[in-house]
Amino acid sequence: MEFIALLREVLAGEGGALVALVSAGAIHGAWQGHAEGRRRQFDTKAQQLILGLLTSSDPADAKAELERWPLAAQVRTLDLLERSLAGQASVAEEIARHLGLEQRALRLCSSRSWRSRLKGVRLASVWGGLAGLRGELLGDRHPLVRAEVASWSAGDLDPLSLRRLFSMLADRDGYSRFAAQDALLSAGRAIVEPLAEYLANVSVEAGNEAVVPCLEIAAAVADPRLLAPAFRWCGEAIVEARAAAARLVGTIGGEEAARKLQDLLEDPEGSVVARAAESLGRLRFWPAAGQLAGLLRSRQWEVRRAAALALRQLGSPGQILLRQALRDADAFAADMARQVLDLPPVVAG
Amino acid sequence: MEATGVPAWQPVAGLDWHAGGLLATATAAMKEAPALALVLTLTYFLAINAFYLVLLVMAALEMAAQRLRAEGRAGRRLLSSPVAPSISLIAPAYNEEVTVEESLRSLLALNYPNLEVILVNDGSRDRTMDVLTERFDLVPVHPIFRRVVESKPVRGIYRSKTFAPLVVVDKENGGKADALNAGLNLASSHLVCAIDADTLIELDSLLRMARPFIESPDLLAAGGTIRVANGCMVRHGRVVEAHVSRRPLEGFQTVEYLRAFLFGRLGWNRLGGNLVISGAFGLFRRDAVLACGGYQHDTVGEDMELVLRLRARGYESGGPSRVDFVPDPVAWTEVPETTRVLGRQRDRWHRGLADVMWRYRRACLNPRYRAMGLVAIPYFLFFELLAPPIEAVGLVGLAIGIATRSIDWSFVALFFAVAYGLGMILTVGGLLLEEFAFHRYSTWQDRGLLLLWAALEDFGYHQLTVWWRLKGLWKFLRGRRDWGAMERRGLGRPAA
Repeated sequence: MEFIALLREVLAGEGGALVALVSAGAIHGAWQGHAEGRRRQFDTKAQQLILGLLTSSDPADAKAELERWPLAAQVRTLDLLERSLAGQASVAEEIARHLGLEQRALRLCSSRSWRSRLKGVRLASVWGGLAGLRGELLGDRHPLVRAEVASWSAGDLDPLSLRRLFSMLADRDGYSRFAAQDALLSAGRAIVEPLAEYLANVSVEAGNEAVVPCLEIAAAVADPRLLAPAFRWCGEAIVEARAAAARLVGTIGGEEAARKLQDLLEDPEGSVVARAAESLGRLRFWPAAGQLAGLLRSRQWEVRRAAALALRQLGSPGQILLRQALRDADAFAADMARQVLDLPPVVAG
Repeated sequence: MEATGVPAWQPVAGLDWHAGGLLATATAAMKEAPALALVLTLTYFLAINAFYLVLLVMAALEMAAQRLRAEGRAGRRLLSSPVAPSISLIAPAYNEEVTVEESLRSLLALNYPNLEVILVNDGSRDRTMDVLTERFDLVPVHPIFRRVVESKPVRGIYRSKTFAPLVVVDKENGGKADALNAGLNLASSHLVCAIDADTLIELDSLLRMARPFIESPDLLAAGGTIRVANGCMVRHGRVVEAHVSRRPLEGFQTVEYLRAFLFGRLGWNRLGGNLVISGAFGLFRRDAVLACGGYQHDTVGEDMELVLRLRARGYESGGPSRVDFVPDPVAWTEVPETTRVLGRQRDRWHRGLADVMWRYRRACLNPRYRAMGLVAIPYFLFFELLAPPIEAVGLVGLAIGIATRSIDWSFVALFFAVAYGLGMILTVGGLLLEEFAFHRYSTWQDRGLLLLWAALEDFGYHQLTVWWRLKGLWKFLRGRRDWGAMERRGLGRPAA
């Protein structure tokens, strides 16, 4: 009977828990519905307010109106405002300061809790405030905060932020690395000199994580000033870096670059040779045709493929060598040559 | 619409409430050896429910952490970033002439910066290939690719003149695993997303799914949430309004899917043991899948088998072995509308589970495989695979108990009620996770329907699933490996 009494008590407890859970769901559902309605209402008001700001240079009315709104609506309005008044960040900043949002963001960013700092960064990034703090925040202890600041910095980098972003490329957290690489890429040609300096000075001990993303960014920028550091990495011990450098050299181009790529065709690593062959094909450097034809006999598929496609890109000299390779005693070379010669003219590979 | 004849093998992590079975086992056994039977039964009951509670708590913690990460500017930048990892989306199609155009257009419209869509026509006997050629302006190409994993011969490869990211592979029929292998050989991206051709993927799902791969380079695979599209409003290959079906069979499955994905698989993230990624929507590292030989042809549980093979290989070689579940990328699927088709599906899922458990029996309770060997595989073995026979034995015992009048009915009723209540708490907990994190079902009617189907599923529906799973187990023991036909009406189409 004791067991039955226990079951009864458990059952009563379960009943209570179920009522609580269902009630929580119902309250949340009702609150969500209410919040959604209010959000729509404030969004309409926000649009009117922004329209008013577009026609008037004095934001005093807007400030007075926004003061009466709840925090979430203020932030959403600033977000809309920042997007609508691109290039007039000062208006959004002035309003944010007036509403005390800047102080709030600053307080949150100085918190000991990373969640609060993240919240602060997200708040400040709505109107682009606290820009002076970004460099410092890029050195935050928590990777999520660093990643968020990096994304916020994209397109507007000061020297400290740049330094921090470069160091973030070797971050242990993948998301931080991604955000830093993305932010640097979005900076375009403005990063050429610091990038060249970084690539020239970073030590091999920093590892491929610190170098390969930079070489990839450099390849996207493809500025001749990056050729010297690219040459440096063509000769370093890190395989991934040599491969990325071969690609970079190919995107920059020039006689000197082509000669360096020819040297890389002798590299012991297949991935480096393949990237060098691809680059030579892209540069249409026909003096390398003989070397590329020799690579058709490589036992590495990646190298054979890259060499054959490069030969095809070279035009007539490459085509002749590919046809010769059809009769090659080496079955691998003949097969790859046949595959590439079979490609229809529109396919580049 | 069908994907290579049948949908993906996709166990909806059972989370069964063995009220009747356990009680009956207890009472029947008590007649012979009361104390021992009671102890064993209660131990099983407590163990399974304690585990579910742990899963629920873990899922809630994981949900909060993932929601925090998903917000913010950094996530939005992925959308336009040239450094986002490239994804090849592989969609096998078999006899899809009616729906293939709409499905493919919705796939090509997904928000992702570096996307390649590979549609594999798996030897369709209808006009699928003609429709593709006409509507997508296909031209034959001859890419040089390496056949790393085996597949049936490829008849032709085509690219679209109008949709640059589209590649169509026309091959001889070989089943879903074979079609995916053909796509894997052709894929050129770092990540591959395996889907069913009729899966409706939400616009931002790939962005959300790619995120954990950026965060953790050691991640091998990630799965997203599959939701039930029956009852929803579907337009142009997109779910525009989520609703819960009013039909019981589909409603029960909606509850099952929510429970299995939002609390089952999410909870496993924290316990280090995700074993299942749905074949309808999963993202994998291509090099890892190729290195372990691609999809297996000789199993009906090819997606679970692949996940276990990837993880086992990681543990054995000292390499990466992590597989995560990400709750917010959502794909919608059409679930069976008849008991006949549903029965075949569940029977096949259970055969797949049995097959995979047998193949990887070496990992069970083996510390070399860490959480997978010590927690996940034993769980799937004892609480998923063997749950139907345990429950069936219990039900038989209950019948005997009733016949011999050896059961104390007050005890029976009370025990039933307690077990049912616990099951309801866990289910409602899962539904609450949905409500708090996603709030997809925004009408009171839908919430009410969810609660109704949750409350009713233990009365008849659950027992049916036990029967189908038992059949699957029996067929597995007899060596059956066939898929069985899967019939679907087609999303967004009226019933015939």
